[in-house]
Amino acid sequence: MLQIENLTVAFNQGTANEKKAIDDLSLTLNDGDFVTVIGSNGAGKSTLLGSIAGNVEVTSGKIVNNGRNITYEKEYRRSRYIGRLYQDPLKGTAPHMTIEENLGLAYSRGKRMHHGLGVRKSDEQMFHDACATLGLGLEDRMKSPVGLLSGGQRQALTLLMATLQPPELLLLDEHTAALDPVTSKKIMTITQQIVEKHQITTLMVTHNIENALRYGNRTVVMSEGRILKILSGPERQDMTIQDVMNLYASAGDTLSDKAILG
Amino acid sequence: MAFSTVIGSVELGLIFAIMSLGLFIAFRVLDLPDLTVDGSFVTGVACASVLTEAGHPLAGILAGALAGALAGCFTGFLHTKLKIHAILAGILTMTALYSVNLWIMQEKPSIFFYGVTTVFTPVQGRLFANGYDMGPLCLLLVIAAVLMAAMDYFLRTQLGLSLRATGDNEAMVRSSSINTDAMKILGFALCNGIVALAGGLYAEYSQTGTFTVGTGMLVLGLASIIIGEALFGKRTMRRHLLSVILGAVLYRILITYAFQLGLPASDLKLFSAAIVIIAISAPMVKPYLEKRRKRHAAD
Repeated sequence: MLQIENLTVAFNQGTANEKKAIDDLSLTLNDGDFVTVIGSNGAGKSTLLGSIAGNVEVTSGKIVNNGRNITYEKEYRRSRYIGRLYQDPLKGTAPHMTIEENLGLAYSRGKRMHHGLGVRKSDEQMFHDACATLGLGLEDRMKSPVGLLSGGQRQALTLLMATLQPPELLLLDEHTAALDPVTSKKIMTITQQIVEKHQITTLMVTHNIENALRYGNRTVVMSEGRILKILSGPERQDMTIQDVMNLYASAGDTLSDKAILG
Repeated sequence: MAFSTVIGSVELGLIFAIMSLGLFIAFRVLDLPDLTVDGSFVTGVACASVLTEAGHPLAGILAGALAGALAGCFTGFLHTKLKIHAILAGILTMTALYSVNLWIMQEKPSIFFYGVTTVFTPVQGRLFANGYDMGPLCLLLVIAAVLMAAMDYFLRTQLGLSLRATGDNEAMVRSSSINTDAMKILGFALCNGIVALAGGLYAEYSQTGTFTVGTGMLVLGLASIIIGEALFGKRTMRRHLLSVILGAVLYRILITYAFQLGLPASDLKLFSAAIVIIAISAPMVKPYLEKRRKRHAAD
């Protein structure tokens, strides 16, 4: 369970440029929740993810994961139990290392450093099978450098790496935004499969309203660093893109074209 | 070239191959050219000289390697914790080492220890070819081979993978629960430890410890790595490491040959820099010529 209590993140504090990216926000994710987050540019979606992951410094408030206060824990330590995907498919993999080596590194996440090879003979079959579940043919290229893969393949691999050791929390930061529509859909399908299979608590930021309503069990609508509305249950099911836009309009916020077209 | 000259330059080449393998960790694995090596090589020389003179040749080399690793840690500390640019951090440590090395050598700019037992003494006078003592060559070959095998293995262990990934994609490594600062410090330490080890071997091989010998070591190492990669490839890690060794030996032979052709010793550094520039830029010449040819053909 992830509890965010009265979280505030302010940039350039004490100067004329002070901006509250997150303003007194509280949100609770129950175990197995798949929550999507939408909002216009500058609504604070990425900052929210960043402060949970630990690369954005929190100004005040509290972030508690499974009973442990992680508000000021170091980024690399949090990543033992938080998996993360970025918009840029090149960000999540090491291009000069093979698929197998990348997986080996990901598989060791959160475990004690072991002696011996990073890719053990006993793991090879498991890595092979895990790649096969993606249905992209990566399992036949285990010894190829990741740099040779396409953006979509790399993002799928990153997703696999982030969940090979199912994390307590999965943060997806517009992870399909840089892909073409077909690949984007494919990655979303894989995401859903993996999340459901392992029952991973997931927070997904997206610009795509349709995806935000279709995937997951709750949708958080953000505006100006606050939560405008949390949609769930029948209300969420009956929600159309137009309804969400009206919601924004009522808050005096505007959406980018991408949210409607993308 | 006479047989003894060739063997002599292969021996020196192997010492510089060991040095280049060290630099490989900073330059290729971490992708950070580390200027500390110009100083840490001499640290190895200084420790080995002083301790060999005192009758502890092996301890001298090990102490040198340890001191070099410490110097690397310091550069790593400057770079990761004090956020000093990697190149400047290396220059700072190198400059500081200048004094430290003199201090280790008890303020003597050079130490000669002819006739004293070195690590090469036990292997001397056993195996001859054309009247030339092959002992030192064999010992150096074994050290280079063992080091290469050890590095090849290490870089495939979990720690090794983490180190490589840190140089390859730092953002990814941070989000996979690895402390990138620790990895970088480790990389700098390994790099300079191995470089200092080579420095110790160099001192005992030449039975001289001169504290100015480190100047240009980085360029020499880069030349070896780049020449090796260009001529022998870098497809797998093992191949890549072997290329570095071959590159270093070849480079040494090239320099010996240049000396024989009458290159004045004072022009050595100029020659080294020129070789690095040519080796780095050579891969760009071919596509350029091809493009030009196409453009002219289109006219």
